[in-house]
Amino acid sequence: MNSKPANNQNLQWDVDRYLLSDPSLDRDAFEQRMLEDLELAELVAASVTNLQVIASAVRQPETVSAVSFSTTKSQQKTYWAMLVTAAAVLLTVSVWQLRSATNDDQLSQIADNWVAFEGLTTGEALELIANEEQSLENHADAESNEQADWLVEAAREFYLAKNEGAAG
Amino acid sequence: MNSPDRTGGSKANLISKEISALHDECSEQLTRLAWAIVRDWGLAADAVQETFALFAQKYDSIEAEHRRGWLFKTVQFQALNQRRSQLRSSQLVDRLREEPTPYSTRSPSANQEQNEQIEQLHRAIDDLPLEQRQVVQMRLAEERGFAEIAEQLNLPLGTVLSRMRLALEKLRRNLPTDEL
Repeated sequence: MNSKPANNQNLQWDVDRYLLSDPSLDRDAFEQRMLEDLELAELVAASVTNLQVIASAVRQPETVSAVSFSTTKSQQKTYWAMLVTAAAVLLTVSVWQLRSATNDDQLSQIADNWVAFEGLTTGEALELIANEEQSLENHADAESNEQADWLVEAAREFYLAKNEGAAG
Repeated sequence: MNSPDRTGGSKANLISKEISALHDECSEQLTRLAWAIVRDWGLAADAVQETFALFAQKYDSIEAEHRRGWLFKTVQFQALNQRRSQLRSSQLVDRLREEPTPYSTRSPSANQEQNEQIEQLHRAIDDLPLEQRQVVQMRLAEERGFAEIAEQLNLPLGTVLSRMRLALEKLRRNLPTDEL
């Protein structure tokens, strides 16, 4: 009873396999069938169009989203890599400067450097410092981290106080 | 009373009109059929043109009820010949995109209709199970072959094909039946 729709579906799938270049399809045999069967030839002609419509629909949203996704990811990666590198260098310099800072002018100058890192939490800043210090194979112990923590906080507070003063 | 010249002239006019009507009725279908074989719209158009040139020469010898079938069969022979000569000179590119499609010659309302179909298809694509969508995307958008897709997804070829089949069956439900 349902053999006709099933046959139609099988026929449609054979046509799709031909148009989509299924390597397991005997193309010569299929083309011979097309020559002998007008309905099959007509179905191939119709299927070219509807497969193209489907292909257009598949390409359009995915292409746009794939491109924008990869661009955003790529931009984010580049930006983040630049930021981390810059942060690591600047923080290392700042920490060593802070450790030797003896007056407010020096602290002020160092605190200005924090403008680029306002989005970082103390933990994130410490992690960068710790990583950088480890790479220098120096001051990688807990004591130096505590010291760095205090210095980071001091510089941050100084920076914030300075900005509040300027705003007021 | 018609003179013999006049009779011959009106017969030629009649044949010309009939051929023209058949051309209007079938040329788009014939071009798509030829494209399926040669995968190039320029070559497909050439195959159709040569078919109609031959048709005009043999018109009298082809019975009226067989004319349409003759056109479909002959355009396939022409396309197969085109493909053979093309394969001798260069490799055909197997793709379903970038070529100008018969849509470009359609009316603005037909193009509008196509845009609406595509919108509807977008929703149907979103509704596909991920594994089917992935195969459809790789075959139709990225234009990878089925063997390559199977290798990349580490799946048997039969699994990839059945995912494609199921996806196409669902997506086709969103197309008007006269295009099926």
